[in-house]
Amino acid sequence: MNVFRALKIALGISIIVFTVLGISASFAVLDRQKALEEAARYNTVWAVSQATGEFFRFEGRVAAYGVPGSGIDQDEVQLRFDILFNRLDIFRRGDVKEFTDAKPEQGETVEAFGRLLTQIDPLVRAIDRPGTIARILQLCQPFEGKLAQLAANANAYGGDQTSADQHRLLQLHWIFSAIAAALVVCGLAFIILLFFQNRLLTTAYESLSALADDLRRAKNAADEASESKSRFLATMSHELRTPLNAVIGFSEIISEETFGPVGKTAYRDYASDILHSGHHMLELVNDILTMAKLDAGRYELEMVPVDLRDTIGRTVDMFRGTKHAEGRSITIASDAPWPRIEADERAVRQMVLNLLSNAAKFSEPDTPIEVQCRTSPEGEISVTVVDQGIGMTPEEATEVVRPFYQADSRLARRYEGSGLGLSIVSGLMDCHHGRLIIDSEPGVGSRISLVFPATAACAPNLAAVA
Amino acid sequence: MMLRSALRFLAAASFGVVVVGANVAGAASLPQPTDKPILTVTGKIKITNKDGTAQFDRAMLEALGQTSFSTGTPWYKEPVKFEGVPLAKLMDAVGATGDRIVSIALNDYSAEMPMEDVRKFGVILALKRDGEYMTVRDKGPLFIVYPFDSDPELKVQKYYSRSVWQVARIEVK
Repeated sequence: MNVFRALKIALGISIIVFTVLGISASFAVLDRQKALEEAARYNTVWAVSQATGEFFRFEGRVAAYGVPGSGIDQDEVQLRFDILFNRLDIFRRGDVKEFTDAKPEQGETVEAFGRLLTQIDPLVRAIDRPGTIARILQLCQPFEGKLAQLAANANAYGGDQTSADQHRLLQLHWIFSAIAAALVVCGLAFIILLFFQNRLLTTAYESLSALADDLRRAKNAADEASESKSRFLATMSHELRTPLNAVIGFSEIISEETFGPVGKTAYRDYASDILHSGHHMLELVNDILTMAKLDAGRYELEMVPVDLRDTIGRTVDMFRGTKHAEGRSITIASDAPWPRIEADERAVRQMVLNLLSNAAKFSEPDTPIEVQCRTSPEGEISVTVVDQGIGMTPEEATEVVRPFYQADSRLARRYEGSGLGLSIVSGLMDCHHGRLIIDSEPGVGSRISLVFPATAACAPNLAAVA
Repeated sequence: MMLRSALRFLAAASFGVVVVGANVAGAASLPQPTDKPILTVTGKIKITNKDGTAQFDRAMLEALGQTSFSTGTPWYKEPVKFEGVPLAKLMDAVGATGDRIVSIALNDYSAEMPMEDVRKFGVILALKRDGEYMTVRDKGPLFIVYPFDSDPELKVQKYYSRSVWQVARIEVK
């Protein structure tokens, strides 16, 4: 494609250059032709030959004047002389001037001719004086040959000039033809290039169309597969919970010896293990079910006014009762304003529990965990769980919301978990049109916030704040 | 000198009256030149004053009415002002019936122009250049001039060659 682009640019520039050159050459030809057409500058050869003719005519009139009965009077002689004078004036202008400038020796002849006429002028006026005719003819005689020579040279010069003009014009025509030919070649090359490029584009378009069809089919298949997966997970989770409840219930009865001693202690311990595993499995199944619903977009929120102080307080109390919270300092920031928001209370509890559970799992038991709440100037409401645990890198923080992901696989072994906790929280916040913000630093701890939009705030609560 | 000028004026004035009268009434007559003729018109003309020709001295020509224009020409570096008789008026004055005009110079150079040129382009028979009468030594006494600057079409060899200087005779064909 780059080759085509470079070729197109090169051809485009060539066409522009040749067009400009062609137009210039065309103008030059026109200009030359116009100059030739307008070249009414008195043709050198014609002017000199006329002057030569007039010169001999004048000599003839002078000679005839002296012959009685010739009919030539002084006026006629004067007229011929004046015409001759006019020829001298023509010699000093235009083409003849160019000729005499180009041929200095001929210029000298013209100047000498001028001097002759000046010398003769008073003689012509006084031609009737005795001896004047002979004097005039005597002065004129040497110029007969010189003027003939001048005419011959003018003829040669005129021929050269005409040849040079014709040659220049011919050259211009050739240049113009060459430019026109180059322009045609460039134009043809451009058309061929466009043709090939068009063919390439057509092929590329067809390939892209085919690819788009493939992608559409693949996406449909993937969507279908994803939906099937979600449906399967939801169905399986639901189906698994029923027998799990039986396992948990009966193992609890056995481990607590509700209906009397089970005999050997080992049996009771095994039952406790079954109960523990059952709970864990139930949690896992519940998480998978929630995730599958979120994934399929079928999670339904029950939006009610939620008093965050009350809900968070009860959630923290509930968490304190779990084995993850044993011996932990879990506090609620006392100076926090706790607004009421429009939300799904169960989802809020689940999200806070997940965050508390993560904070407890990934921090040392002797480090505190705190739940904070704040309202931003824009009105967004954040519920934040702060720990001083192992923290995460920014890369891990972006990955951690992906399902079944744990930042550190060693911790996954150390801490039980489905790897769905933060994915579920992120999904639930999406359902609330909010955001999950993870602010974490390895070795320092994490601040994980549930950010509800300003629109989630309940009006009475805003009034109370005001 | 004064007397000569007065005579010229009277001759010109009377010629003007005669020409105007001729144009109006269709009567055909030309006065006789009082000075040396500088132009002879021959050929297909109805109005003559000597031996089937129409002869004009300078005063008679000037009495026909003059016009002027400035134009560039191939013969002078700068544009010059020409002043003279519109050729159309001259043709009217001699009752020209031909369709071509042949201008013949003192040196017997001649050039032919179609009659339509005289009206189409406003060709003049110039007597003055830049306010001065033209002498034989300066392409005078009469110079046929096209107003070259008025029409680019005129700036070609064809019209330059029709501009004859030192005109002595005009033959209507």
